[in-house]
Amino acid sequence: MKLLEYKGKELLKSVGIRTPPAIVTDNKSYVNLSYHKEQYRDFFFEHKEVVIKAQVVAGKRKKNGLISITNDFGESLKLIDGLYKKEWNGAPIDTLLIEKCLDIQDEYYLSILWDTRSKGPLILLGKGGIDVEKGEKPVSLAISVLDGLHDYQARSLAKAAGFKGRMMSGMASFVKKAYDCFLQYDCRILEINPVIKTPEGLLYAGDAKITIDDSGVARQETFKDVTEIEDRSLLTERALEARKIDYHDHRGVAGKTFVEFDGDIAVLASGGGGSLTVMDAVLEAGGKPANYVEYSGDPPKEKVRQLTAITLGRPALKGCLVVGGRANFTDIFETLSGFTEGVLDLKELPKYPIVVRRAGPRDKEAFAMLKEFAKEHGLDLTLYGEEMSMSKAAKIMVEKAYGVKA
Amino acid sequence: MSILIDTKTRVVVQGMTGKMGQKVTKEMLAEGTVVSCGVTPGKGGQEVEGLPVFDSVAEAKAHDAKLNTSVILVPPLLVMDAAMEAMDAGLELVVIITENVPIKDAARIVAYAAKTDCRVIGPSSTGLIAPGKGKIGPIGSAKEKDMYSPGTIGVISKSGGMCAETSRLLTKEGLGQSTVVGVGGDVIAGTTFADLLPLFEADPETEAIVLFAEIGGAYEEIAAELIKAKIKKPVVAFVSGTFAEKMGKGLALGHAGAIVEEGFGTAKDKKKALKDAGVLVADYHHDIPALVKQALKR
Repeated sequence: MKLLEYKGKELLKSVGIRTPPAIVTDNKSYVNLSYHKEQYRDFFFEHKEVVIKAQVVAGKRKKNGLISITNDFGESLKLIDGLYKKEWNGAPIDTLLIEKCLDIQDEYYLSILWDTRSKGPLILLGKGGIDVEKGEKPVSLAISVLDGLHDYQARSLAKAAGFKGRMMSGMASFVKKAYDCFLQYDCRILEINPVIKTPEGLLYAGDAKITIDDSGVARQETFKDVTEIEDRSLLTERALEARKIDYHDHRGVAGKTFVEFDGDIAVLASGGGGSLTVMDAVLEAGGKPANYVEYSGDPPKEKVRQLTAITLGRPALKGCLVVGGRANFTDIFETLSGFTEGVLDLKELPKYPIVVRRAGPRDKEAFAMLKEFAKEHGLDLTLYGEEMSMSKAAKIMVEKAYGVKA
Repeated sequence: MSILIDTKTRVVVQGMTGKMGQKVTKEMLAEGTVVSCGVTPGKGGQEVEGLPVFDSVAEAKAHDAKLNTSVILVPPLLVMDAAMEAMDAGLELVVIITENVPIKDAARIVAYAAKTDCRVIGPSSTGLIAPGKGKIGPIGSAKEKDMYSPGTIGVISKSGGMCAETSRLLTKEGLGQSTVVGVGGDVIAGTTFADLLPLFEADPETEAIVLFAEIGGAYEEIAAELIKAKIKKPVVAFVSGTFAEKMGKGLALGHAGAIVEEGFGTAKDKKKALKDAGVLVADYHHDIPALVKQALKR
């Protein structure tokens, strides 16, 4: 779960990290409401210059015109209105973070993540700012998750990153607080870029990019009401539609992983490893997948029906691949019944080839039903059980879709 | 011979009274595994498949002093406690089947395992099987035709489902398996390729090793370093997820650990590292058996 900047900063504040004085607005007509307007006016004239940031989960917000700075009150109102009129990836902007524009003397980069090499938390600290990728390489420190981060380790890290004297201790304390935040809130990645140093030598979190470990969300009370969790920049309307399938029904997974691409072979895959293997095979054989989706955990028929209708609702498809490894629990008859119902929901029945490779509970019944269904509706359907490998089925799909030998 | 599971293996099922616990207990017994007893706090005194259930692992250990292996099938947020309990009771092997275990908990379990000299497999492991000898976890069956079969190929897989699919391909080509281990695709895994490769190298019954690898993390790169330095037996690998990284950075598809972050862990880099270490890397998953035969000169 990716947090919006203001939510991330709330977490940082809760562990004692300084963030710029700020107000968060989540009302479309904010500047027209007299009460809030008064509050904002006071805020503006106290700080004299403000940064107005649209709260969307996306990188490069400055380049996309989602962040502006001004020291003119009238202009700031126009900028606020302007941002509220903007859309980001088809969705309106609901929330703005308006902060005091700090005097910046220096900028640094801090990130904490889980490292597969040391199998524990890894802290990265360096000189930075917006273009950290171009800057010097940050210094790193692997932490023992059982022993925790000692003060002396944080000081050594700060020293190695070039901090001296009072700043060394200041940065060490900043890093320790960030580490507390990382563990306390089940973070997967915590990145503060930039960490701002003011002329007074105070350190502030200038931004907050925090991803919470999805498996830890359930025990974190503070995320109960967080809904804007995804980077929408990769999601199409159809993908957002597919995600809704899982919102209110937790039996199995159907649309949560749906992503759309610029291709023409629709894919309905099952199994984490298997689905990726099949997508790789489609690509390797020269096919262009129209989408990725992985449905599993024995989803009810209705979910597969919706997912099928959304996936195949796309125009100009050349093939449809329904594929999965041998299922342990998932009822193949139930899910493939959902598939046939989804096909019937389409405005027009598929004229393109459909390749199915499935195995598991009730597969024989399912295959008999599918054969009958294909005959009745004149579909070009090829059916494979476990005798056919998944990646070979993908290759055959590509050959059939494009009418060539791959 | 096989690795991790042998005639001394005696299993306690943590979470035995749950739906999955009962199912897996039944399956393991059918496969010939010695399942000694189960643990579910608060349900001590009950029975599953005629086996006693205790409130704690310590009580289970008191009941069976030779208990050495635990398989954990409890809900995600209870896994850390169950694993700590098993390690504190002195068990040697803890296999965590549960998925969606918080990364922080997994890291703590793995760090504690290093301290207590216990081997942890998982979280999100589908288990392991030595065909014809026994299995731990829901991994599948050697009794089912065309799935697992006894033989000389060691298999290590990040994907649970692909343990069965990979073994099926091998079995079809007459290549049976010595042991198949699902290590799970989580960010922090208790046991990785590099931990198991030396065991297969030392196992006289294993002739070649197959890896089902995936994008994300550094476990493949670490394995490549080890193979280059220490593994003499032929290794064949398939790296899945090329597609996911082509489609966008930071997109988590498939397993939790299968995510390319900050440019680390791409399939291209992993394939290159493995090839440089002398590993035969399959372009398609179904090419694996042919490469194994090529390596064994059959």
